[in-house]
Amino acid sequence: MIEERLRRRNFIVQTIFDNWIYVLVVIFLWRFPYLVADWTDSVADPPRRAFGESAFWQSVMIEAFLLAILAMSYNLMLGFTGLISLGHASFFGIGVYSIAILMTQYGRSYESAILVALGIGVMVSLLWAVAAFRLKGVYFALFTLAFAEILFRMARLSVFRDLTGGDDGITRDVPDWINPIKNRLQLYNVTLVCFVFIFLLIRRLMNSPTGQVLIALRDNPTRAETLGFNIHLYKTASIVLSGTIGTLAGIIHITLNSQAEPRTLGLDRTVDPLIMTLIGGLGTNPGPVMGAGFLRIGEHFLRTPELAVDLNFLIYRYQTTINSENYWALALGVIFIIFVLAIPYGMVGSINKTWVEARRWMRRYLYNPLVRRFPRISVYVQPISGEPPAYAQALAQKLPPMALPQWLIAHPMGVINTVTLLIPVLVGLAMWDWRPAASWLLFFILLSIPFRLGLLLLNIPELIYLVAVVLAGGATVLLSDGSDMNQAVAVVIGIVAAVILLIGSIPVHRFLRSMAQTTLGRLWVTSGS
Amino acid sequence: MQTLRERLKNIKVESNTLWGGIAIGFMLLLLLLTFIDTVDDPRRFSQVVAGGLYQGMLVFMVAAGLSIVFGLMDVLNLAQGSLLMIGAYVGWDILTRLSGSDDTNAFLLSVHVIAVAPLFVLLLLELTERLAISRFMQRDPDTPSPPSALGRQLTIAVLVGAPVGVLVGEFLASDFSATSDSMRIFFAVVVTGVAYLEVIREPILFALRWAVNEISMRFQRGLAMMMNQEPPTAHSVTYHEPERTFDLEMGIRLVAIGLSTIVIAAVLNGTDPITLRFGLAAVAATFAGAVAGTVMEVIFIRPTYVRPFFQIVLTFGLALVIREAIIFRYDTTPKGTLAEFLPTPLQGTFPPAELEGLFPNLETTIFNYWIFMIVMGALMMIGVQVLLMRTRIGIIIRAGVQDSEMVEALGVNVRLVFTAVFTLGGAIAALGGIISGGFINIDPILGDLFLLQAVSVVIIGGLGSYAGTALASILVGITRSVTAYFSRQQFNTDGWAPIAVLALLCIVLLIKPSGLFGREH
Repeated sequence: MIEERLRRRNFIVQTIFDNWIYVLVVIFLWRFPYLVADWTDSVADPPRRAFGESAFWQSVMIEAFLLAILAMSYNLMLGFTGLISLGHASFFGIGVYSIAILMTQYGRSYESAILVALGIGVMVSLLWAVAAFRLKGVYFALFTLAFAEILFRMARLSVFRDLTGGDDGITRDVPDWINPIKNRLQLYNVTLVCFVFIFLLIRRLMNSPTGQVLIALRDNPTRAETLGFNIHLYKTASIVLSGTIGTLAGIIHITLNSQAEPRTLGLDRTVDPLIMTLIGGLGTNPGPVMGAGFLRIGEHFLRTPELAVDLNFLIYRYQTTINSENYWALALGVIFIIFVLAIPYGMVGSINKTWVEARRWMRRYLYNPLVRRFPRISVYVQPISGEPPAYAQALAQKLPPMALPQWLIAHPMGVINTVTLLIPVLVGLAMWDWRPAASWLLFFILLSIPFRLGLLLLNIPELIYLVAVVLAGGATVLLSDGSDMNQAVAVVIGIVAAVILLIGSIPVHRFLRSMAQTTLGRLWVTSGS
Repeated sequence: MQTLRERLKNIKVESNTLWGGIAIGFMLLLLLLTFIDTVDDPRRFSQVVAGGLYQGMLVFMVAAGLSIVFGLMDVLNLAQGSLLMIGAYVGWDILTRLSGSDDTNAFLLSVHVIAVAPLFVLLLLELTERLAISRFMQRDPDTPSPPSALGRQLTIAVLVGAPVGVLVGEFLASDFSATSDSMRIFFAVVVTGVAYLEVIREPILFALRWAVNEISMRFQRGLAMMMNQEPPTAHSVTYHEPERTFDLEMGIRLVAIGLSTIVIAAVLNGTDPITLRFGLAAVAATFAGAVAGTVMEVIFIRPTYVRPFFQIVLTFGLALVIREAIIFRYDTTPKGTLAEFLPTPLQGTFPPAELEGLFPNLETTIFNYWIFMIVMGALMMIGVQVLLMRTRIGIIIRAGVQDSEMVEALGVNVRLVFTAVFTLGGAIAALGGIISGGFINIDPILGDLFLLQAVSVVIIGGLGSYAGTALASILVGITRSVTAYFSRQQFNTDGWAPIAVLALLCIVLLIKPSGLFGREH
């Protein structure tokens, strides 16, 4: 035991090794303003007033951070505790309005206003918690919806014009040290620290026993109650933490925009974190962050007044520009619905789920000595629950992992998808010109349609899948307006689409897989191994 | 000897009655407050009451679908308000398109009436079937009604309805030139001929068979006499007893068709084209809403029955998508109301100028359109009630609300019923949309606006309870208008009205989450 402990590395080093990807991301985000400054020949921290490309990207990232914070707070309630909230905008708006009102009406300083605003956020979330004692499921969702709507309408009332500014809102500057106009890099760093802190906080919480109880509340509240946990206490904890974090997001929002509008209390501020959480992955730690990042940065690229569409390769001399401002919200809604219907666990959740399933599958088939000896038995092998028996493990350890060609035969759709998407991406990377790559992409997608249609006969979700593929292809084509940044983003989107397709194709084709397995076994037997 | 406390304890009040009484009492209290405040101005009071009623009816049209859907399949469809918005926009679209030149008008009207008239005729047929035929005809319970009856009715309805439609179009064009006269006569002849043939077909066939039999019998007898044989009796002759298949029901239906055709033609002929156009737009909007509701259920809601957690999120997203799609199609600019397209009698105020002498004390400025909305809402309430209580699908829906699995075990395709309920809810909401469009600005936030009120109504009335929904919609309407009245007086704004409704929702949720008449969950 002691030797075991001694053999371990230093605690901090071990933590960094375990979370190397997070550490890399944080380092990247910390250096991000300087990197952009280097790429675009601008200054990361201009002396008097923020201007230039780097400052612009800083503001985009600050918004992404605050949306990620809001989405994480939303995920704490919806994804981890199972409380459907349709009024999360109220926390956000309370953060915004508290700061504005306290600073203008009561002459508080910015720093003390933050404390008071967080206090108000806690009070309001306690009110929600009281409602959650009595209300469950849909009823709680409707309560939150009504609550947020009441606040929204109150903020717009002309009766309180002196206090809230009515429809116009209040404008108030923040002190110099964090002012986005004078000292934007400082605000960027502060927001980054907030973001990392809250990510770690929620991660730590969900790895603690308390977090496990929250998950139990989500999965089976009755059972959690029967086991003796005070579910009201845990619900209160979750709602208060979530509400406070939501308020913090509002505080960052008014620090960045220095304006409190009724819009910050509106339905859109609830829809945003909902979409981000669902796209990223409900009930996962990095999910909401990824969702927020993708949507905010995607919005920046897709929601430009003029977007070049170049379909020269498909239709002769078809080139036009469209005004994508109008399409963005619609496209977002459609993406959201596709995710809810076809990929309900989101990006991160699907990857996790697939990885778990893939491991189980490998244990069941690839490393199963019985299957290796008598391949045709694979059809009759029942799902194994728990660990395989010890002798099987021992045998499996002696066997080498499957060779690549055999693995490829076992994954026909994976191969098709990889070829479909990775080749164009590689071509785009190699030539650094996205137009031929886009045409390749579309060509391969069209080519793979017959295979997919064949699979349609086997299960229906493939249709939705197909739509997703075509959308992804269309998005990459739309991005081809020639600038370097857009090309880079297109490459990233292409890779992500390829990964999603690759992963998504594994669990759905059980039939094909077992067939391939049998074929594989025959090959092995005939080759005399 | 019982103490007062014990006696009070012993009074057993049904929970439903109690809460219904509380709701009605609250409503009366609000009205009383308004009445005291407006005691010297009865005009204002009647405005508040009528305003509350019409708002309640409009909200009811969204809430009805919401409530039935939730009761049947536990789906809280947050996109129901968007169906209302679809109805309003489709109605606006058609009305603005139809207000072109006279030629376009006539053409489009006749084309649309071709689609509308058969629906009317079918409705009338069903009514005659239910009110007259099934009541007075003693049917053998073991013999099922002919399976092709509906198809036959449909065929005849289309055959009759299409020419009627063209005729109406001709009338509306008010162009009595020679061509259109001859067209009219031609169609009239065709219609009459088809109907006549249909009616006398069976008697003719009967007579023919009888004649053939007679001739064949006489022929056989004569043949036997010629051959000096004994004349055959009735038993030894091949004699086919003609089946008396004259279908009395069919005859009654056909008479109903004829009458209804005449009535429809007469009514439509005398109707203002503006009224007809509004009616057409209403039918088209209802149809669009029904289609949207069906599509929503089949494509989006159906895959998520197994994942109820995602369902509410999905409908929330659908509301967003529908709003954005409408912005995409129709732009964000508000389209104004449909007031200019309203039929003339609906545009005035009540009482009209001619009747003012009769009611010297009743100086109201209630718009006729308010009365129209109230009447339509009340009709809808009664209609849905009748549908739920008196029809077969109503029985299935109510049974499904009670115990869905049992109904399925009895062999009813509950999936299909789910879809039908969605269709119905969509149709009612869309009809509510075009009706509300006559008075309320048509813009993309219409959906959210009505959704919140409808959700309030459904929760206050109790999820899944139809009577509760009906009562709560009136309660919400009255609350809204009374609050608007006081708020306008005190603060010079009516922004408090929606807040009051939402506060009422929150209070009901916290006091009795299952609503006034709802089941305990």
